[in-house]
Amino acid sequence: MNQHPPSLESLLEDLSSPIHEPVRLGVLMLLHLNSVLAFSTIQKTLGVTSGNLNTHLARLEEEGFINKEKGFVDLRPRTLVYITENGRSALIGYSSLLKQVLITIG
Amino acid sequence: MSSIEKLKSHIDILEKVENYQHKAEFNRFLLILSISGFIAIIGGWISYIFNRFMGVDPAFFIFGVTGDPSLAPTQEPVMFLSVWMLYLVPIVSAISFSMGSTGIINWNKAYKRIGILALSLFMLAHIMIVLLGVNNSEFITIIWGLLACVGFVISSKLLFVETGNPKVRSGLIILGAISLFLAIIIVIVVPIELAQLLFGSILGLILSFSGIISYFTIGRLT
Repeated sequence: MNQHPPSLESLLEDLSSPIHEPVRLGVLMLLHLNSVLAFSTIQKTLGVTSGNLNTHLARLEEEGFINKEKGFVDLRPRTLVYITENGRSALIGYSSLLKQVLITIG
Repeated sequence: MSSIEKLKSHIDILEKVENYQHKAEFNRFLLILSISGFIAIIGGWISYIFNRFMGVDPAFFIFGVTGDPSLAPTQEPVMFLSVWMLYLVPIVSAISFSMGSTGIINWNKAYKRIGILALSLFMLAHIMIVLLGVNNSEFITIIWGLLACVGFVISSKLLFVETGNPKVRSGLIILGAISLFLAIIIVIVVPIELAQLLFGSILGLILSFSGIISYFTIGRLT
């Protein structure tokens, strides 16, 4: 039986998840590659305000994709952000969908 | 709005992540360069201490050839084993800390290959020194300089394939050339008993300072 490849619209619809927001995607991608990062590092890398980043981190924490805790970097107190196993698998699933979309767009 | 426009902000953010990763990777390289500088200085001093107090290069000592019979492995087993520990502990530590899913040292494929290459060249240097014998000490520094040069050049190729960073490639080739010329100049100018100490110290300072200065000028993450 011939199976039609999924249309671009249906693929874009599948993409709509809490990760499908540029800042949240950036946060998860950074944490996937580095495991743990300071709040300030994520903020500077993605070029967002601390309020904006806080809102997105709260959403990701709510979904169980990240954990936050107070720690020290260069002897200064910092908020450290970690990725969870849930976060990793969600990002991997999202990435393969995004790849399919980009292939479909050509 | 076209599909590509809908994804433009995603692509922009992924580019920012990629830039960060490139810089983080470069900083890791600079850190490893600085640490290898310290190792070279320590190596130079170990060699000097052995030559000064035991009458032979450590390469001979670990194979049981001592300048003084009272320091032979059968007479001083604790000391003999301690020297072996000095060789093995850093290697075992580096391997242990980089193992497992939460390894503290996050090596990429190129660094793993460079680690194996460094270990092979280190052992090859020892074999060459022992084969040359205790009467050809003037060649020991040349052997280290030559093998360091080979190591830097091969590492430059391995890292360039992995990271695509031309700064890393040219930097390592320059360091390779410096180590070879430094070894030759030192052997010509400096007495044999001081040659390895000076070679290790000068090369170590060059490596560490190149790493530190590059970090503060071009490497530091904003």
